[in-house]
Amino acid sequence: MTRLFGGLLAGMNGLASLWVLFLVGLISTDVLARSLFNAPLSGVPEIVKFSIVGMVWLQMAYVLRSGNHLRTTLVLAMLPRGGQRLVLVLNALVGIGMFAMIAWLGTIEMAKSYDIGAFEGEYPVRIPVWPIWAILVFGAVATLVQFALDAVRYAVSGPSSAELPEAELVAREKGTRP
Amino acid sequence: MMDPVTVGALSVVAIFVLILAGFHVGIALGAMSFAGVYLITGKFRVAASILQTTAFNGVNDYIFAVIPLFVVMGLFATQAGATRDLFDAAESLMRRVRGGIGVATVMANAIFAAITGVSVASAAVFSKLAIPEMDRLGYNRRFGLGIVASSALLGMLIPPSILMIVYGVITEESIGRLFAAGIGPGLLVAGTLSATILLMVRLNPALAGQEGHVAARAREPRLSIILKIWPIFALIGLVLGGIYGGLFTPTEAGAIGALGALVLMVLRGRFSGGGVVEILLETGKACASIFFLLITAQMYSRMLTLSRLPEALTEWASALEVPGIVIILSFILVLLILGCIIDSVSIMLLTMPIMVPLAATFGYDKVWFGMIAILTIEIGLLTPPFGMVIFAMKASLPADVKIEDIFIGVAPFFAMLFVALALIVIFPQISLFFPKLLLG
Amino acid sequence: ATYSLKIGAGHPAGSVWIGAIRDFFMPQVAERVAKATGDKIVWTEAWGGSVCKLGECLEAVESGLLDIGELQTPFDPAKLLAHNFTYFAPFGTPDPRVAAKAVLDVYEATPALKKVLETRYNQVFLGAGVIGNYGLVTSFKWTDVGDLKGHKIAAAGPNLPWLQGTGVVGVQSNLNEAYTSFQTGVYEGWVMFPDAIVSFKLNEVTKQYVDMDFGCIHTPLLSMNKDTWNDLPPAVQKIFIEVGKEWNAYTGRVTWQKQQDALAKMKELGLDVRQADMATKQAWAKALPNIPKQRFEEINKANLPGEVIYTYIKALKAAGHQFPRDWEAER
Ligand code: NA
Ligand code: NA
Repeated sequence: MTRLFGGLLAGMNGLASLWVLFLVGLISTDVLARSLFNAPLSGVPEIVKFSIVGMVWLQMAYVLRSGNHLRTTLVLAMLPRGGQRLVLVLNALVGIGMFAMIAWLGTIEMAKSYDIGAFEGEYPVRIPVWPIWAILVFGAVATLVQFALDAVRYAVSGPSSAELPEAELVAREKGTRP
Repeated sequence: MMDPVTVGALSVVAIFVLILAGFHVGIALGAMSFAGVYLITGKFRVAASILQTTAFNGVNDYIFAVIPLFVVMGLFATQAGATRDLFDAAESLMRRVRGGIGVATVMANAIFAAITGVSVASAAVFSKLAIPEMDRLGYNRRFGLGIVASSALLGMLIPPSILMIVYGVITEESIGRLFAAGIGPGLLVAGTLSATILLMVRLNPALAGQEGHVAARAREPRLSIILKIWPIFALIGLVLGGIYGGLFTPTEAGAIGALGALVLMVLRGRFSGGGVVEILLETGKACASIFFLLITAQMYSRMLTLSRLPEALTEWASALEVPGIVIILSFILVLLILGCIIDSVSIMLLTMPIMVPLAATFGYDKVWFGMIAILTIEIGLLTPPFGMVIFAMKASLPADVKIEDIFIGVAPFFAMLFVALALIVIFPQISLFFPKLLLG
Repeated sequence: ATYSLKIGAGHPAGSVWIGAIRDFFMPQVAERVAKATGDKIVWTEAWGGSVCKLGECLEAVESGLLDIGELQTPFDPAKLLAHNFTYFAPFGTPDPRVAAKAVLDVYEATPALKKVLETRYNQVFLGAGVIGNYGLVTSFKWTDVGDLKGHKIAAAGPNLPWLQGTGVVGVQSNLNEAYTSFQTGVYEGWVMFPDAIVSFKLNEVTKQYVDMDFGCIHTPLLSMNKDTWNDLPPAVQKIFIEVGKEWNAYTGRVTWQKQQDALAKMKELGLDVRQADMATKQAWAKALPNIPKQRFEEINKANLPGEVIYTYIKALKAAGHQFPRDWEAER
């Protein structure tokens, strides 16, 4: 089950990575069409803006799972085992709360955007807002689930001795978690 | 409900404690944003909404696309072998100079700065480009990290620069003039960093690796090494020429540059689908963690605005009855303190509307003060615990590089940046010469 | 009592429309409240997007992150669709003072505008301001509308449709990017008003300004979070409404003065400033699709008062304004 979830996160991350390539193509096409044929594409700035939001939220949970969200382990490494456990569980609990609130109010905003047909951009291309909110909510829920998995793991078995601080970095390099 | 300024001050302390304890930086910032707004307003939902709106709008900006695009361009160019060749050439050119590749990194950064407006992009790209080369040459790790981190500042000091555009918009100063003004301080900082590298290597030759590495590679004829680097100049020509020749904006240059690097990869027979996918995944991970920080840093600076702490700090500094230069120095101090905890654009948005008119009442030139403010805010990108450039590097480097190593490595350069800052404060001509020359 | 109010906007403190709030609205409210009730108002200011960026402030007021916000209507093209009515009547009045009065009349005559804010977005309408008369600034010189064909001209949001039919290649952009985009030739013109041209230094990268009289526009909208509103005593509420009305006229006066100054300044800075004659305006207006009618239908479809556009057109006509194309006759 956890592995399935990991696969989902990796898939979302892969999608976001391809999105970068899409942006390269889109913007390049716009520039070439504009300078060679005096025919710029419409709606590119809006698509680019929204793309950043979409990409970030598709990747949020995966980046957490792979240990790439930033933290300093200077003091953490020196704490006694119980202290490490406390910090890591607290961090995960705060993370759950934070992403839960984002998902909760994000859902309301998504519904509202859908209802009134909110968009960005103007004639001739209008980009609807709600799909981006949907990605954001999905990404926030995935992240809070990952935090919950982390919290349980830290509370039940504590940080594995391999996890902090040096060994954790080895695991990160391999892209796996103990 | 508590006194807002007190809430703001307490949150600063709490941020330091949480980050030092080992919380994710983004979680610490987000948690304190929520807690701060809750304590100020007494309303749960209002506090929750600062998280939700910023989660979307914090990165909903066209200019941010420049970050992944320039990262991808750099990685594609590296995959194409262009970077390796550039460093070979630089090393070849400077092979009689110990620390030559360090100086070459600074110069390359200065060139790259002319095509990017954000320092985090410079940091991410040059972590990928320079650090492996320095490792190959046996450089001291922290020394190399310090070189890359400090030279990344050139990204926003040499035009184009997001900070200059923001400053120009807030203060209604000419953006063209500000761009021109950045040339002097940019060259000064590049020179200062180069001198620092050479001096440090002179004092401790071991910093710049072992002779053996250099000697073994010096056998290849110099001319052929230099000739091999045409692709990177073609790429720079495409990007720079495109921007200044009137074809596209910096964000577009990022995309065109990435496309150019991809074509280069194909031309040199280095293209592989797997390689491209790997680069994209790599970029994604590095950028997502930077963007999460951008989001949470904005949450926090929004909370700070509502707490009126920055205002109180600035008012405190300006209420002192002292000569003008002391005001300037205290502004620098405030900017440095804020630089420890929030991101550069936020600092600018928070402080400049109050500081610039005050500086003007003392008769100081807005362009000159702008350069001081921009360099100071940039130095904040290097200071713990919240150093955007450091984090960007960490995210793009192998996992065995510790954040502490980068902070320690940058310390000697940090000291020298203050020397450069002092020169810019003492000699306004450094900032004002080029605007006068170019714009009259 | 002391009321602590958080007020903010996406535009920086130095901009004209924020200036009108800081120089007039805030001190007037505080002063009159102190005089009438002895209460004190303490402001927390959050300009320049330091709490909400452009297009985000409606939500900030809705949630209560801000107590009072200056919303910019074009940045909320769907939520404030009907409130963007001035955009949908191209070639409205060039006089901001006339526009301000007409806009206020429209709000009075169309209760739905205020009601939408209250029922859907949890906020109370305080005032509607205006900005300058739009013209066309270009990095090349032109005389006939036909000369513009094939040129890349930028506009923001609801201004973009004003370029339809002219053969211009429309580019969506924002003012922050304008300077560099001109410099690099991404586009060669902007639909903009004189004051912004001067403050964003576009004169450094352009050659000509043609006063096209596209018309003054209502974009600043002051509103207050409804919960905050309900916590205020009626005497204080009354003062907010009263100052909000005066602020509307104030923005008209300030904008008019700025417009005169900016036009003079542009000339002084060497820009070729010229006034479009009626024939040029008519040629342009004739090329446009029937924008008021299109938008009338769109607004009605969104369950909002489409009639607001024609109410505005009538108000301008009543004030003596002559449209180069009679939109009302073509409805
Ligand atoms: Na730059
Ligand atoms: Na810092």
